[in-house]
Amino acid sequence: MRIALIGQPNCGKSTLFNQVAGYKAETGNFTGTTVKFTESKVRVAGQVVEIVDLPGAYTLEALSPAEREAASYLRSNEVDVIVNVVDASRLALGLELTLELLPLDKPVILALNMMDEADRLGLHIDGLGLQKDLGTPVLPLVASKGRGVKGVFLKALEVGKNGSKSKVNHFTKSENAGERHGQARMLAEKFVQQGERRISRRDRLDDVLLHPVWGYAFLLFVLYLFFQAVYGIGQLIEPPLLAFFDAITQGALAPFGSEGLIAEIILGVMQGIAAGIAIVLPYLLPFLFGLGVLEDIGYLPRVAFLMDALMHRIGLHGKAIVPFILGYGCNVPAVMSTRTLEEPRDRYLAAALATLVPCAARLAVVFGLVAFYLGPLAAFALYLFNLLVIAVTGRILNSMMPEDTPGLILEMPTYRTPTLKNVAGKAWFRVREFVVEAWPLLILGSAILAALNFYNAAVAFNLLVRPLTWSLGLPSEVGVPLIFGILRKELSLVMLSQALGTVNFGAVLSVPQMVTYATFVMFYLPCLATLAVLRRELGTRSMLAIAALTVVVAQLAAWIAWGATLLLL
Amino acid sequence: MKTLLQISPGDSVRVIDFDGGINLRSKLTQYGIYPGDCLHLLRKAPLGGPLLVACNDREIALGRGVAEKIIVELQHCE
Repeated sequence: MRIALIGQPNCGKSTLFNQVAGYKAETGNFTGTTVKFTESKVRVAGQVVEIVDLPGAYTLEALSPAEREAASYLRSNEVDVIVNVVDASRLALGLELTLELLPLDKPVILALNMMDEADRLGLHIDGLGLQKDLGTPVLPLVASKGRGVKGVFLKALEVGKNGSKSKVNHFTKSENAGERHGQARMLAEKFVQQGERRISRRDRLDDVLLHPVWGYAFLLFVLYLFFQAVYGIGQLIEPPLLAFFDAITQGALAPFGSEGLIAEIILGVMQGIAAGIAIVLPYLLPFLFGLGVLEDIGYLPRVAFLMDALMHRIGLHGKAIVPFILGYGCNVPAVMSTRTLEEPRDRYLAAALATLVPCAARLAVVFGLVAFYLGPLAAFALYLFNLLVIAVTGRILNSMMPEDTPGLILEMPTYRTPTLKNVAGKAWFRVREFVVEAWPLLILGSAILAALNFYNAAVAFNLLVRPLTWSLGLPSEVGVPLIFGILRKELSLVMLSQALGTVNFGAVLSVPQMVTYATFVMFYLPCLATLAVLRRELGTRSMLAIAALTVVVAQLAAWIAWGATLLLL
Repeated sequence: MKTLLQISPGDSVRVIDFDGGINLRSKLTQYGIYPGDCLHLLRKAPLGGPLLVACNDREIALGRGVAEKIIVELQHCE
């Protein structure tokens, strides 16, 4: 049996899904977090059922590709039961979609989510009355706390087994969006009683956070704090871990001496392992945790609101800020999230610019090299420079592609208190990708490079990109790390230690060289995974165009950074 | 006749019509804004930034280009 979860954006479908399936779907307090289907087999009352988490859709008459996908899937595939998740605190809106679902030839269960939020707002919902009028089961739910989850799926199983279809009644016939809008409002008026509101915190909070002056001050403050926290925590963990791995490496090498192929390879493997745990994870973990908190509170749409005017200058509107922010975690979900933009031009532009955003892996390079040796301010400056380059690139691309966007339309979600379980689950979900996929590659790459070094084969690779490294004033040894960096961006740092033969970069690279290298790595060629997703979303030609663009941008930016560093020193 | 862009923050208005194609209309109705609905303008972002309106219990940010195409009349409504 297959149960599909559907609901309007940001009503908590993925939260419900994760409650039963473990953390498998991205969640966040803004619209359009889920852009693809996530499927999971789950055991409910001794029976295995498949649960599908669909992207949020305001309506089945959809416009954005993400919404269209959800609608066509519901109609075509073998869905046995539809669980319609509705934000109980805003019933009138959610019911519009429900009224579209009821006429489909499938049983529908209405799950009223966020009942706790409705309660805080003083709303009393007559679920039984609604159930009677709609002729379909209505159940209460607080997905974030796991309350009512079991009830919803037991009910879904029950109606799925009986094959009982929701009864058709006078509410289910409207084909017109305007009429449904009216009907939904009538239903909500009939079954929701407004008691006393217990909060108005949100209005006051937005008075500050969206304030024309304080809003921006706060935004800068948050970003600065975020940055400092990531750096501080990473700094705290990195040196002792590095020392620890140094000791282990010495121990592992002892039986083999320090010469010969085996010793070189063991050294390479150990360096790969150490780099993953001691250099990448200390920064990646706090970063992903912090991003999760910001996402779940609901601050990101406020950032979109504040940044809309600026985003217009690079030819996009505020909604495109989501790919950018996700890009700081990983470019892959960033490119995927451009699917929530309606216009193909916006998607192309947002995807191209999002690949210039330094992801967590490139963050490791910037922090491990620039922040570690030149201090956090230098790294901060590099991030600001990155924003500037993106803005200039955006302006140039924008002038080449005429704008026809209708502009920003974006919902501001209510602020929500993030739960530790969800934030930690989300951070782990994203870290696991690194541990499972990237880390083994990293270790393997490091070992291969060690072997190449032993046979002096790296020289050939280095020669291949020598024109590039020469033009940037870099030693030829960085050629191999740059080439391997296309596989995974972390490799451009990890393999740098292998290529230069030391983890103490300060001893072999000059300050301008470090800055130039980090800047080039920040921009040049997205990693393989990003290239693959660019191709899937935009096609081969666009992928190649974007790849070429990043190399040009990287070259120019690296020159500018080089010059600026020389001037400042 | 006024557009939403000409309204000051704090005012309530009723939506008369949308001055745009089917694309704009369906986008706005997707977010639950229909002709006849009541909008409450909460704030305007500086430097040509978006407007924040409350409509049917939902808060929505609208770019100026969009707000310009929403025809409204000043009316105190709930």
